[in-house]
Amino acid sequence: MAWTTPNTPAVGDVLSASNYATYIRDNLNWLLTGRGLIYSRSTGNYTTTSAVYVDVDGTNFSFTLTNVGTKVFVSFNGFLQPAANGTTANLTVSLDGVDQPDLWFYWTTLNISTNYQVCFSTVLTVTPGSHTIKLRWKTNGTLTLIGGTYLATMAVMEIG
Amino acid sequence: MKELHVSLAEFDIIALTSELRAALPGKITGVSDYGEPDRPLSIWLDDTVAESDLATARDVAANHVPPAQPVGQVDQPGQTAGGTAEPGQTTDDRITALELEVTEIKKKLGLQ
Repeated sequence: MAWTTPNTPAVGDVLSASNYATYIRDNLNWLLTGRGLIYSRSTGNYTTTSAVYVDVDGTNFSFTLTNVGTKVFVSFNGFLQPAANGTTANLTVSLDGVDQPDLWFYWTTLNISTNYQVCFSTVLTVTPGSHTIKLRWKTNGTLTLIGGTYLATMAVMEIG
Repeated sequence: MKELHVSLAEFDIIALTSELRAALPGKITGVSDYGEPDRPLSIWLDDTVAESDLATARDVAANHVPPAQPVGQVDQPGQTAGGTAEPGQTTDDRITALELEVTEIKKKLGLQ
């Protein structure tokens, strides 16, 4: 279901069932359920050794929104586990294949004995239409995003 | 960035990355594993790689053997459950060693 720009009734127009369904019912349903997408990883860890930004999961942590407006809210929460002391970690999102500036990185290197909670949010400015947003990461060592013990969750939602 | 998919039943992502980087210096960005048994790994390569480099990467992956883990080492992300017998160690010795490991882990977790 997609958004339909509401018609502009003139004085004396009668609200037809068809117009009600198209401009009111369907648009209300879209406002309730159609503006956002979410993925929660409940099992299976991700691991990377990539030194430059790559998709965390190009299938699941990838969202295509067809938005009417120009603002998209993005949020992520998860836990990272380094394989060795001194590991760096950077996360961001890509918009239509273009990496955004770092949205999360640790101010020093990570230590092996700790799981690090990652959470970030951002608002992307887009043009109306279809856009794809993906979770991306990179490291200087080996990094795991925990997908079982702790949920890794990302949500994208058009907000205006 | 180029992505090469390979399916490996067992692997060590750290060792595999090292082997790939040794075989193709400066051309391997890294490796990603998706935590799903049936899902191939991604080998990330520089944009400049030639078809022959992709073939080399495939060969390295196909010949990859995960290193054996020494007794007492905890599995790391991306590694399959490991542990091998020490030279001269019998099966019973190995079982005893593993039982001791389990006991130690339980103690650390406050389960014993």
